[in-house]
Amino acid sequence: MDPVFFLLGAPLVPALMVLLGRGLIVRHATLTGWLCAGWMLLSAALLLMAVPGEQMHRFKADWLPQLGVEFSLRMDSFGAWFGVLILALGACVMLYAACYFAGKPRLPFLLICLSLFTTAMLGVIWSDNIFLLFLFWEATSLLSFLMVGFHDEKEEVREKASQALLVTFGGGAAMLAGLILMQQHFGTASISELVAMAGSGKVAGLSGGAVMLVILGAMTKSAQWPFHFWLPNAMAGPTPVSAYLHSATMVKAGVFLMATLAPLLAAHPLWTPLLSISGILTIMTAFLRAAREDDLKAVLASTTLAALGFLTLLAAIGTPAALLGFVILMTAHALYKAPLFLAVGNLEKAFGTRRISELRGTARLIPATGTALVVSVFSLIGLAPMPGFLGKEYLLKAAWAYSPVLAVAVALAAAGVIGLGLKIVLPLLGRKSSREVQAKLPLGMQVAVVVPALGSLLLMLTLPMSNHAFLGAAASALGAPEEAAYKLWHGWTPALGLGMGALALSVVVWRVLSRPRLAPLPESFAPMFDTLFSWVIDFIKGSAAGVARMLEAGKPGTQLAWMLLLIGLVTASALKIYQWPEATSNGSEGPAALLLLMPVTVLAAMTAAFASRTITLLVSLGFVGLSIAVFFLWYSAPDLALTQLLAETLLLFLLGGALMKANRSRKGKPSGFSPGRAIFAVSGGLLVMMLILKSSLIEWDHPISDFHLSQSKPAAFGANVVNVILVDFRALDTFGEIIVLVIAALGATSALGAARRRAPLPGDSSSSWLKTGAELVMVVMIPLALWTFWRGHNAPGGGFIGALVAASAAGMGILTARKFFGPSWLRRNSLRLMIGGLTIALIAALLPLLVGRPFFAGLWWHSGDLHLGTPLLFDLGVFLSVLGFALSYLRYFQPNRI
Amino acid sequence: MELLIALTIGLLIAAGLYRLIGPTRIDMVIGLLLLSQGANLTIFASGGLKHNATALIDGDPSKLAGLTDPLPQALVLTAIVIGFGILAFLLTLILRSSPK
Repeated sequence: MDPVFFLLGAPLVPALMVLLGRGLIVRHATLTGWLCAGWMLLSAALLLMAVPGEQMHRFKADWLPQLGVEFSLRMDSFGAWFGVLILALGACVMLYAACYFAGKPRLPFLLICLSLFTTAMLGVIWSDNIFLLFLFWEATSLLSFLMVGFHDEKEEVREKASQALLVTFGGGAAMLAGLILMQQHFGTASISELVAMAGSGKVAGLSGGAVMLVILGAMTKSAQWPFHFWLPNAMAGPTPVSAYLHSATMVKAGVFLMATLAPLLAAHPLWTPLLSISGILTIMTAFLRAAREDDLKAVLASTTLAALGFLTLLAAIGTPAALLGFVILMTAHALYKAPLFLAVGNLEKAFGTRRISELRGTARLIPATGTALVVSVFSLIGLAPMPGFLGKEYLLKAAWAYSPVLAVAVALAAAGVIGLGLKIVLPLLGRKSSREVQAKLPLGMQVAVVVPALGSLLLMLTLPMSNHAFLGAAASALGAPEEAAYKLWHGWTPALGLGMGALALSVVVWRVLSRPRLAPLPESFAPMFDTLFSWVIDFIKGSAAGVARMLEAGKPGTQLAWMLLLIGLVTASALKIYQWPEATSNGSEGPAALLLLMPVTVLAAMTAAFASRTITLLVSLGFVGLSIAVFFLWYSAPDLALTQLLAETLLLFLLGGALMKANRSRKGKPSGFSPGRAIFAVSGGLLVMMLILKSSLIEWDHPISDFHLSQSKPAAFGANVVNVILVDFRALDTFGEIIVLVIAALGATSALGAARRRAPLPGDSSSSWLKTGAELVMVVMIPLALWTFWRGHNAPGGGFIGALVAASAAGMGILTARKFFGPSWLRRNSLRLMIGGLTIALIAALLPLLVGRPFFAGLWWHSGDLHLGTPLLFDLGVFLSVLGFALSYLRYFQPNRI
Repeated sequence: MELLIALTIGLLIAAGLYRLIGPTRIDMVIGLLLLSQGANLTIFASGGLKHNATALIDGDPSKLAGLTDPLPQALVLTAIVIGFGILAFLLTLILRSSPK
């Protein structure tokens, strides 16, 4: 593995640290902040070394190769440079967050989210597989939801956070569909291979739907019109979170994807029109939103929208010149937007407000923050020699080369955004301060603001060097012309003229914006798409509730009926139910028994269906079970017959208790015959009948059964094939089954609490006949159970059946209220039996591993006719756990003794 | 012959369904009980039904071909026990959740 990819996990180290020492973190928040920031900055510095050079770092591990899903990473200069921005700004944000929420109990949560979020974002930009990218992409959506909803005690915040989540997840789902379509068209899921196909003409055949779906994902993530509304709402998150989401992460993922795919997809007829229209509309909307806004943070959020609009526009153009502009504009934006947001947080902390009108002349009162803020705004409005200036110039240049009309439009839009920048900064610079400093700013919060602003300046001071090492390398990796470099001065070009024009026009814009008549924000300025969004959500919620009401109709039976109806319809259509099977025989023998049995079964079943008296019901159910047991016996399945009889007995025992209790509480009102239910039931029965008739026609080979029959004696030393299958051939299944049984028993115990209420059984069990008889039966049954268990391998019997026999004996004991079978005795011992049984079964499975045989292989010890082996040990485990299971249920049913 | 078996199972299932969608929770348990009986019989019958051909081996390999198919039997055996487990669990739930 290329060591550089260890940096993907670097942000997890602070998360782990925070997780382990939560209490300490809260007490020493500032120190934690510095440590986290130091670690992240160190990672950023290490990564910075990977930026120069043209080397492409790669890592690949198979994940689901059949589906084209691979854990493959790639990192070129651009990816490394982007990663540096993410890590470095992450450092500032974590430091800021630690100071901002010092001493708050939920600080660890926020820090962990920030760390995970950083890793997810790095994953987005370093993924080489579109599906891996998608996973990281969704992770950023989810984590940003958690962070935006940090103040989850407020309903409003929860709503806004879930709006962001729904919009980005919805877009993500669309994108996944688009990515799958792209994979099918291009035949690869690797981003490197996709980008390498640029210019090959293959894109021509790609369906418009695929392009639109992918664009949809990118647009929702980057909050492009008409999905722009979630981003300003996401300001409900705390300041450091907003600073991070708006600068280097989250919203940048969308434009990152656009820029990565631009070389490939720009040739598609839908790409440029869709993205450029959306980008321009986003900028216009952002301007209109911010024009009358007095909240500093809201204005900043709108400028983020505008900057994303410009980046989208560059990706829409998709030419090498545009990608050159993309890199510098993205870098500039990340470096000025983070300090701006953090500075607003500082202003709010220091002066208790973030309304522009109340913050006049305050910048000088907090000099460090104020300076950083002014420097950042200079970059935002694109004054030379800030990075923002380069961004604007190269944006205009690329637009001019594409279409002069577009360039003029961009210049006009830029004028608007610059006007917004002036609106932010000029009032703050006034001579007279309107407020006093109310609270002192911690050092960490000031440093976090200053560092990125300083980064902007450093980048420009060392432009000749950084140009060669970082910016140019990153741009050419993304697809800009070879040997890309940024120059502050490149002659009297149209771009320069447009830039100057925009700057001049912006003064007019600012004058208009600062007219007092415009200042108050009317309440009726309801964002259209916001409202539309809530309509859609309300509609979905409403219709879901309606459907649920319709399906449930207040009774569980109705809901069941709907589900069964659907299953039935699917089965019926698959069965071709309208065709009567041609022949109906698979060579089954002996109708004699059936002719006797069938009427009994049917009559009993019908009685059970309509009976309302407890005793009738129990007797009829007993007859059903009994006749089925006889059926099993007749058709060569003695094991089944025994199991059926015993399970039926125990079940009726439990059912009897439950029914008595139900009757006592309900005063047994018989429910009348319902024709609707009858029709439903009869059609279900007919369907199953058809299914059986049709399936009996299938003539299949049964090599597995043949193998079991032929190998049972020689390989597993057992004559009873059914038992051998259970404890040897398919022992793993059986093991799973007894685990399920034990879990069911434990679940009933723990989920329902200690056995306080018991089902009543006939309390008057003083009949001496019963007492004496039961004693006798018990004495016989317990050895019988053991004997049944022992003979199981060679004759009908075995662990299951033996356990049920023993449980029946215990049932007798409970019925006659033997002291021995008290509730606490049963509880303790059923648990012991189950755990012991499972342990023995597991030991039987593990023993062969000791001698180098596979899991569950049979080990045997022979002495004459006696064969002892691990399958028998396993059967003992089955015996004990099933016995424990049965006892644990029987203990809920106690006679009324006291 | 198959028609008879299919008819029996179909009626069992119909009785189970009638109970299953009934008004009370006990109805549901009884319905489930009948349904599982029907389902067990279906699986059992799918292996072909033979009289006097229990899958017990007495050492004569020539008789193997005539024996009944043991695999569905093993499946049904576990199904019976699991079905018992589920119903017992359900009954306990109902008992504990019903008002005193």
